[in-house]
Amino acid sequence: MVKKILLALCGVIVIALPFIIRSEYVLHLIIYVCMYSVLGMGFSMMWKNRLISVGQAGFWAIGAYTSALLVMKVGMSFWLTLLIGGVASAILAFIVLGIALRAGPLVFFAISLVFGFIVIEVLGTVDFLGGWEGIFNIPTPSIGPFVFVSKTSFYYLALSILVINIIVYRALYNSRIGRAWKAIGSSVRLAEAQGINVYQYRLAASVIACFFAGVIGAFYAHYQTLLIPNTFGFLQSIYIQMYALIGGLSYFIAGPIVGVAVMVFLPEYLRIAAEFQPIFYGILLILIIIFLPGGVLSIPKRFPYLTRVLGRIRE
Amino acid sequence: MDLGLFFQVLVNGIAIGGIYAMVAAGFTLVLGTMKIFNFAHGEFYMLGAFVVYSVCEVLGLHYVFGLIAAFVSMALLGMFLQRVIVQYTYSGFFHTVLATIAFSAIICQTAVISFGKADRFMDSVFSGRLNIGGVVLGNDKLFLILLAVALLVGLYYFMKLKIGKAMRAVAEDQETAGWQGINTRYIFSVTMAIGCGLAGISGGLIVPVLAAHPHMGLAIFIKVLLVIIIGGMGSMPGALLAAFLVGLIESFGYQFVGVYNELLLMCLVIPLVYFRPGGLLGKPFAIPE
Repeated sequence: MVKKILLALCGVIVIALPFIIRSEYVLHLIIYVCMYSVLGMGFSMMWKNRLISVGQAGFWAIGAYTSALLVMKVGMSFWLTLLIGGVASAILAFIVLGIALRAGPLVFFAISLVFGFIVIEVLGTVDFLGGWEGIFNIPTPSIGPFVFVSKTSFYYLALSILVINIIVYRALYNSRIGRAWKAIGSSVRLAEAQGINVYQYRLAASVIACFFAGVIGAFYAHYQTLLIPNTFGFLQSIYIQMYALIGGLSYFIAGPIVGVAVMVFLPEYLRIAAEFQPIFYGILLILIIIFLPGGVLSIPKRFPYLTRVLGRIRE
Repeated sequence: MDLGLFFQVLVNGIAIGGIYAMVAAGFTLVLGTMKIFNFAHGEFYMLGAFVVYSVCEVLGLHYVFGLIAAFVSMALLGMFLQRVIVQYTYSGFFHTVLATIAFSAIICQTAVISFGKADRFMDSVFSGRLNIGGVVLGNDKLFLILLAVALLVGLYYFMKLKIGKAMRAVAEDQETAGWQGINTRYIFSVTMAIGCGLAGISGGLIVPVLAAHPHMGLAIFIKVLLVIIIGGMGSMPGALLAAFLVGLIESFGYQFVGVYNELLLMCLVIPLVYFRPGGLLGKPFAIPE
């Protein structure tokens, strides 16, 4: 009951957020939080199957470019290309990752990494796709006369994608498929012995994760209105897994959101120069892996003493 | 394509293949013996190149000292990585992967900050060239190929020594090797030192031929991953065969398809994995649970 009230309160706050925060820049960061959360959740969905994909940024880029090119060269509606971007990246995931999975998780890891690089190379070298300078002036989405221009409207769009994503993922985790994933995550050999087709369930997880990566990529293209291949580089894929890890790899929905919030707002408030950010993130990641393998959300479980003290203070 | 050009491209391919073979051999050694996917392996290669550059160009010492310094310093850094970071992340295979990814990000960005993003060129050490029947062979490239082959042969005989046998025993079964009285932690350090040292020395070999750049570590790591996928995870002969294969494909691909040769490699790898999931000479690598 308390949980439900808290959840409702959170929902109200999240919906009213643009009216509480008047700063455009903070709202911009929050839109990024929504966007990266979707990517981080995709990563942790694969992690649930004990797969690591280092190519998520590649699939993100495919969604973004598909949508941007279809809107600009064919003249399709944004709402259609939002889905097509997701489908395109899901189809590529089905082909590339499906083949890579046959050779086991390690080859999957390696091929996803190589794939992320190839995507950037192709986007940069092929002139039709914009080249290294990128695509400019991507039109913003619109419904009838209403055109998305303000940060507030984009915030609601990002939020609705995130909420749909959470609903779908929750439904999946609570269904038969989610239980199979859980079995694979605890022991692959045991899951095989129970008659679970490990290959198919793992493939399903990667395709679903890449679909949402493509959808959020399409959103990103029309929010940012310009696409540069280097923004989807290797570091971005690394950041995506850091989001999931810092929040907690065993919290599949809340973990990435918390991780992204920490990663986006912490350097902002610590005022770290962009040059030193990878070093800061790297050290943070190593410290978290060594001292807090469960992530930020596992602090109450790991330090029960702290929780007890906090509880006493509240009383 | 006339014969002279053909041999020229062939020699270039063998030179690139030699570099890939050395980096991939070190990587496979670490992966096979310690069951660690060392993501930072390419960064050792990059740092080795910069060590040689600084020793030769800044301090003004001879190239050979640069190579020795690259080997020793990278071996020490590899031992540092093993003792300080990897050892405490044994909670899971992928936690180690994530830790080495973080380590590689730190090293790469440190190199960008301290050396800048520009290419660092070095004067050719063994100037002059050999002309064998119309095929022009730079002495640097010849030295590279000879040293790569010598080091790989040396590695082969090293694995026949007592410590090499101990390494193979640890690769076979860590626990049982421990029962036989093998100090596995010591073996781990030695393995890491050799693997990373090889990466460092091959980075040093490439400086006079190409250039040193902070992002070259990641670029070669991608190639090494392709080599490992083609050759088979954790299989040493497979890695060496695939390294020269990839070097030749890349060298000839550059002649025929130009900038798209990375795409070509990828297009070759995907069907290969489809038909032979374990690579050319390996079986699918089992991740320790």
